[in-house]
Amino acid sequence: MSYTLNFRVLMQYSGLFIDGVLLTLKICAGSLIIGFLLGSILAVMRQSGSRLARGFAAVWVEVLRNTPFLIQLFFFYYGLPQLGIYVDALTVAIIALGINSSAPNCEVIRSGLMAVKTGYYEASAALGFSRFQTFLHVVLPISLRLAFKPLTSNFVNLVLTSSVCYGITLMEIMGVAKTVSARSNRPFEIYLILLAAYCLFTYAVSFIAKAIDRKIEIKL
Amino acid sequence: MKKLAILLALLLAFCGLNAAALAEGGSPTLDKILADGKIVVGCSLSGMPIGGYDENGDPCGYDVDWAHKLAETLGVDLEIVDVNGDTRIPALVSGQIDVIIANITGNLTRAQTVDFSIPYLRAGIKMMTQAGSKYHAIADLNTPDAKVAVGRGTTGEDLVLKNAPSASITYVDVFTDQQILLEQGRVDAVFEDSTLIDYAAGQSGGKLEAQDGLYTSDPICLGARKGDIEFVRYLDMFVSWQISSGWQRETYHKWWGVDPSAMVYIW
Repeated sequence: MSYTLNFRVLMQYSGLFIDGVLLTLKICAGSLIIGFLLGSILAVMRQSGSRLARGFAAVWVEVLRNTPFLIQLFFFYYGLPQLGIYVDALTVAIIALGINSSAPNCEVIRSGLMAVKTGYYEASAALGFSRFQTFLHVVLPISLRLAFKPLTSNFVNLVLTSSVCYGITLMEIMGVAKTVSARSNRPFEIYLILLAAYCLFTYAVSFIAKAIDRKIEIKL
Repeated sequence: MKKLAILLALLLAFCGLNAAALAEGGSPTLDKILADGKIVVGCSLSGMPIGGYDENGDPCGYDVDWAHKLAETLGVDLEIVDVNGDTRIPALVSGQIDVIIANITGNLTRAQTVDFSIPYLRAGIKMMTQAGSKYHAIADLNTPDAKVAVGRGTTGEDLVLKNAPSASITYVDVFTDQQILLEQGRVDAVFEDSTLIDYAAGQSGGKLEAQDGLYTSDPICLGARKGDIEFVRYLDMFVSWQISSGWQRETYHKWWGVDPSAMVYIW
């Protein structure tokens, strides 16, 4: 069975593809920020003395890690309107993806926090740091530098998971691919390009992350 | 004696070659279906009364009835695969399904990739909005404030891109998604075949209304792979017989409660 590859016919859709890539980047950037902030807050909550805070954070993380993202997304976009809560697709995608990524981020940052040995706390206390000063000037810098590499791997996962957002009518790169595939009848070329695009992006992110990590890594 | 044996052998070989040549003619698709005892049909099961699921979870609908009729006529088992606007042609071309009976319009663009039989249904694209909507015609939607949902790879998509290019278009995969978006007020209008729209508006309990006017008159045909014209000719004859015998009229009446407009038959 022969099949002639025909990439030229896809050139007319290059504008759509670029718009799709830009939307994917927008979604990923937004959810990266939300995911990191939420993840940090949750990590601190899980390490705190208050049982309520610890319990809440634990439940949050477990639920998000044990349910598929697609279902979380559909819940926010199609489910909430039945309760009268209407949010537009892009906002839903960014928030849902941010919340989803806050769970693995929390675990990663928590392990960074736990890696700070008691010796450091004692030394800070000896130097007269308050608890808040200790956290800000000693614990946070160390934990974040330890957590950087796993955080970037979480980010790569976030980008790959964002492809599911076409399911709530967003024209990010996967949504564009499906529409162009229907119009041009060239699914093989299109999905090949998509696979290559995602590979390229994640490779670039990993490369940059490794370079940064070499500068900031610390051994405890 | 030896010469006679050689002559006989050559004669048999000659006949054998001819038999092989004769066997080469015919329809590979049809031969395979008959040999396997099974036909795989792609149906769109996301819009009654064209295709959907009944209370037992089995596929039912106008297109599904046609699929059963085709399998029955060939004397083979039927397997139905659920397809949408953007997967039906790739599924056919890749061999996952043998025939498309999925409310596909036989137009010239698609005819470059797919062969179509004579039409087994006639439909036109209709517009559906929320009840009491201020939008009544496609021309009203030609503004970025108007949000329209269309299915990927459907004639509805082509219509909106041509007649209301400024509208904010939302792409979905199936008709049920269009209905949900419309009911939730996320879009102002959707476009699909009248056969689906009228049923959906009727079932919506007054929430959705079908706007008057058919924007196109489209032939809905069976779809088959290119390169096997004999199979398409068989499908033409199959469709024609169902029309001329009155089965098509009966089946249409069963699902829509009215008689269809007269369809062309050749045999």
